[in-house]
Amino acid sequence: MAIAVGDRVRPKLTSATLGTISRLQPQPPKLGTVSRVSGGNVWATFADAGMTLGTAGVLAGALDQITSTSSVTRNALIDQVVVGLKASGAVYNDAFVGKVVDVYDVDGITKVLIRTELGLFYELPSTQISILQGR
Amino acid sequence: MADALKVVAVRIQSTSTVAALAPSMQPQGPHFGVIAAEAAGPPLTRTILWDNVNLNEVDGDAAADLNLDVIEDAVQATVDKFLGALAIRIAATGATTLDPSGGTPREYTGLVVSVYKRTPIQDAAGTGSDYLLLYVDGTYYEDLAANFVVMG
Repeated sequence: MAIAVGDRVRPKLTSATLGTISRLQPQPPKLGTVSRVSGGNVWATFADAGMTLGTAGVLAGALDQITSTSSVTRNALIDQVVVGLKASGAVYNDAFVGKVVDVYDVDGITKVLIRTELGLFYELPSTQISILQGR
Repeated sequence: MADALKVVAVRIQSTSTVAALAPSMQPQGPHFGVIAAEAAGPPLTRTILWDNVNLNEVDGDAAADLNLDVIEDAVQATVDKFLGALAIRIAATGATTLDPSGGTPREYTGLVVSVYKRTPIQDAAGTGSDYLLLYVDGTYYEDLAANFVVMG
């Protein structure tokens, strides 16, 4: 779905493969709101960074489109204690156990943002986490 | 559009230019960015949208002068082995039969928070080395994956 005015966006830091594994930056993403789309370029404002995307904007492909996920999915995952799963199905180390603090779709794929007890953030597809029951 | 939309990071800064001797202990993880615009120049220009949403222009006489690495997918086996694991650097003396880290102090054990390949922007895609980004007691460091072993 093409980026449109009013969409939430962030810098796209994932390749096709990395996008299914882990986001590169272990911090919560900074989100912007698209203010203009023209000629393949996008302009946006990032309130928490207090900046805009300059006078020329950026290529649309340089941005992830963030959309809300279904309320059913969000309600099922938000505030759950989870741990990430490797591609093999094995769980991440215990230090990666954390709480789901946000659920959203990135370019159509549902992702969860997890905050660990150490204060680290990491993001995984909702299909690559294991909910720890009773935690 | 040679480099547009590539994910990049500034090349690891170190007192050694030898990759195998270039660990990078730093108070924060590295910043990653995406090339959002470019111009052939001269000067060669790459506009980078960083993860903290700063938008910066980097100029150079040649691609090698930009001091940027392209961040690419690591070898899948490296990702499977290290991502989400505890890892420790292998001592310069090498592994021993009783200790695959060769005796590296355990306080340097880190959480592997990202696994990726760094390829200098002037080089052919996929020709770089796999790196780990580790978190240890509030600090981060990056180093060659080949220098690390997973802790049991």
